[in-house]
Amino acid sequence: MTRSNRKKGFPFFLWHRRLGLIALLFMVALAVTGIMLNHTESLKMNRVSVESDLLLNWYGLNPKGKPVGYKADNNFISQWDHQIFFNSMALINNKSILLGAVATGDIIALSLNKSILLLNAAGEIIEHIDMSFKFEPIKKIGLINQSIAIQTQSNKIYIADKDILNWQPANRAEINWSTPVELSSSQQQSLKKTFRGNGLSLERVILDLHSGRLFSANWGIYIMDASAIMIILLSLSGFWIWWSRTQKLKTKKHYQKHHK
Amino acid sequence: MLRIIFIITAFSLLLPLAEAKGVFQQPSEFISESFAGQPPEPQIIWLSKAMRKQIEEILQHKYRGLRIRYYLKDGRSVWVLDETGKEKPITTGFVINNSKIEQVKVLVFRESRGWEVRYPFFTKQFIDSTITEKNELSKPIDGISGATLSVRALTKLARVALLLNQHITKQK
Repeated sequence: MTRSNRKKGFPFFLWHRRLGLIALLFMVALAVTGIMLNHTESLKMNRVSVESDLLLNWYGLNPKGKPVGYKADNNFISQWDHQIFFNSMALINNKSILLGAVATGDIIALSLNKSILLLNAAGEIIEHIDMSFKFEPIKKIGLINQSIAIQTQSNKIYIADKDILNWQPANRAEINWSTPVELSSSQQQSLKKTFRGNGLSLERVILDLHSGRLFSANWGIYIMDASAIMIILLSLSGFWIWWSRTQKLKTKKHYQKHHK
Repeated sequence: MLRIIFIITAFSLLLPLAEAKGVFQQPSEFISESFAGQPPEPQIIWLSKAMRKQIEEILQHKYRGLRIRYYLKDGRSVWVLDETGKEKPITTGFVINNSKIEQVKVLVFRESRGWEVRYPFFTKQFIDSTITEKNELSKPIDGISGATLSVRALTKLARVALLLNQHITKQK
């Protein structure tokens, strides 16, 4: 058969082969994850937590950026990827930047751009004071004679009363401004653990790999749908190749028998 | 012609969105206006466990806060409270006089839907409402279709404001 003749015929087995090679990877993934999911209980996959930074980052379970921390008495107030922590306890999620934290009496005050969060010694929220209607954005927070002071973006200083209900303007004074401190690696690990909550189980990863959601929540399942369609096409094309070859063989045998 | 009709339709559809969000009145202005320009010093109510439980029952979720500030003068109290409608908090001002709601005003609306709750046709329904023994409003509040969650948030806040007012009145 010449090259030009070969082009004319429908190369069905070639398409079958190509489809098989493409589907190979997905078929193996589907089969392996399927077997694993059938034995979730015995493999204890729901109890195994994934520690891979790559996967945790992929799932958004690792905080982004760098943490910032402030010391208020013996407590540590920090923020990492919008999450604000009181020691290693998650407090609130706020997009504003943590600017500082101070402790006076039984109250801990932490400043965000447009609000002040008051906490008690146990880290319970006493009040979240919206400062945006009274002042321009806050720049820093500090203490003067056990009173809380703030400095706004245009360097105006205000000092709060004892109950932190009213703010009075003040001249530049000797204020101990809250300054950031470095977080130790153990503190960072502790914050990461809190940030992750219940973490990521191996079962979740395998389930998402099986359904395709691991690649993308939106279109990942369509990859697996496409691979499933490929398997169907492979079965049909495989059957077609076998059947057409059988027919050809029968015709050939019949020809050989009667025309020798 | 078609282009003009399209522009007018698009504009009329987007106009409500443009006025949906915003600061309608600053809380400090509302407080000042409620006391004819002479607001009293703020006071605070520390929430006991029982009080917090009642508030959480009304709000149907946890309340994170141990104290709430209010303004009291000549038997009239003013409360500025926040409650989430669908996703973002709605800041609302309440004036309570003689244990009855005198005024309700939406001060800051941050949601993209349900802004109709700020109009007087809705807020005037609360006027003269009191709180029952079961911490319900004494008057029924008609809802607004398409603003169910905002209506629910304001109704809850009205009940909380009346409950807090009842508490400070008992204390006095």
